[in-house]
Amino acid sequence: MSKRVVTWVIIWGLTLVGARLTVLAPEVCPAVTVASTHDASIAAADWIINNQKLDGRYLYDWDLDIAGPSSAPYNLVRHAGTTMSLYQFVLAGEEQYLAAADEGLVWLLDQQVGDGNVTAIAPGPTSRAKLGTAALTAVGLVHRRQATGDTQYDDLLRSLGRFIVGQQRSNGSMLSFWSPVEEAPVAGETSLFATGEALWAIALLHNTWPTEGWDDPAWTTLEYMATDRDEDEDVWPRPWADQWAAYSLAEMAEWGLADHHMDYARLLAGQWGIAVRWESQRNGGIDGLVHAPESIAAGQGTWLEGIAMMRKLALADERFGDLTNDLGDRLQCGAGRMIAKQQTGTGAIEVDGGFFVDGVTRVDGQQHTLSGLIFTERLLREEDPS
Amino acid sequence: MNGWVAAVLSLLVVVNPVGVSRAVAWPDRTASSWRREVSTIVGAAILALVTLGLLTAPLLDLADLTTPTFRLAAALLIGLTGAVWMIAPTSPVESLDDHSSARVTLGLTMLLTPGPVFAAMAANGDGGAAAGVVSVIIAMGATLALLVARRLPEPVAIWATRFIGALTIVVAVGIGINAARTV
Repeated sequence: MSKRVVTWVIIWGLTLVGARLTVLAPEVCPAVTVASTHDASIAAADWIINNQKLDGRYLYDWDLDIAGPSSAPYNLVRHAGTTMSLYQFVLAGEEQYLAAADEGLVWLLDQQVGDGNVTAIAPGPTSRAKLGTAALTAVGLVHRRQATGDTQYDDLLRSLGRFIVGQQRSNGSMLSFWSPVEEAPVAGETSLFATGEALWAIALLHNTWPTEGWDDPAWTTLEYMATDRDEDEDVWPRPWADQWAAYSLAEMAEWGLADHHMDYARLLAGQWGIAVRWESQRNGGIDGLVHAPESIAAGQGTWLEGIAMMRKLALADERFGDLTNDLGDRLQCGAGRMIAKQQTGTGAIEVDGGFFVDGVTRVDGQQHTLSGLIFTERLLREEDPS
Repeated sequence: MNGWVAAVLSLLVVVNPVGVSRAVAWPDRTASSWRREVSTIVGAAILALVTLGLLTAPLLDLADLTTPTFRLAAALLIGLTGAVWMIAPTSPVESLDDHSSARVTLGLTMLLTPGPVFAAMAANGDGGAAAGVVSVIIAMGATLALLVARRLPEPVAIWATRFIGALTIVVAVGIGINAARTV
């Protein structure tokens, strides 16, 4: 008997130790406060504007090992996204970032192509224009309009919107490129990212001008994303954790989403839930190896955006209400971990305020995390209005 | 999978009443002492599993773990337990000790393995405390019935044990997917 009992004790010991070192490693979530979240947002936004060039472009990336930028080419979509994120911060009340965001916008608008009826943004007059750049530019302009009440870009917004809708195929999928030479969409090329960016843009246009019919193409693309997109783009696991879809769903929360849209949203929320929980178990040692590799800062920032938008949807739609508290917990956990990763106090403007993973930061790491932290601070203020 | 269904099904298959009843079916017991001993074993196992199940939330808090993360780990252990039942059904254990308490201890080592314990704790997360308690009672009730009856022919018992082991893996995959999709 004693041999069996000893075996039983050994099995239990190995199980508990093995599990604790791997799948049951503690989930470490540094505490966040309104002040710490706000400070981190300011530092991230400062990284963006302190490194902004005179022409309006941002520092694209920084590698601590070489104390300099990499050779990666500048990316217009990420420029538009970063500008949009700054406008989100302005909309949240940080008006001091408006000038820098406008400088970023002016640089973007200098890259306009199209005939005025439709406007796109391209790196050169004969280069292909990406749908994502136009979409995020439009989103930024809507946020700017909401923050300032300035309507000077309304015509441009509508022409960007017409460009976006012109990229839509009958099944709701979006063509990723437009050729200024052909003055037509490039057939057959789609993008995993751009479809959601485009949907968010036209959903915002509908909420800005509810009588202009922007909702029809929005519904078509939402339907496509909730049903066929992930299969067409051959992504796994499904659904792809698309924070642009989350922004779109939150923007369309009052439109009367169907049950299968909510099912899609619930699956999306689950993807970010496990992403944050898994990351929170990666704290060095064996658990670090088990939970490797660490996602880049931009990726982790998108988790915050996605969770925040799912929480916004949960607050607006009772079918999702059961997730409100858990989403809030994950948002705070993810935000706390990102704040802990933020570099501060080095005195180097290329470093301070940046979110570095493996010694590297890229501008969209600050962009996505800044957006996520803005929503985290909003949640914390809701919970403790004092 | 519905929380109650997942709780009851996971406990029932991971305990594997057929496998346990075969493994604990010591041949040298008289009917009356046998019933008393297996009742004590099952009663003690119910007490332990229900207590651990009800303590799940404070234990997870203490260990800095969320419920879905624990359920994911539980799914892994439930699946491993199922694989063991399927590949190597435990041989009948010979009790060389005449002391009743020793036989009870031996029986408990058959029932309180990591799979059932983690399943009982996860059941509380799946369907709440009531689901946890009910699923433990159902699984242990089935085990007690089979232990007392001792009537399954050996080949049937072996293949039923293996089948339930395979079913355990399927249930574990379902619990794991559900846990992975939980916020």
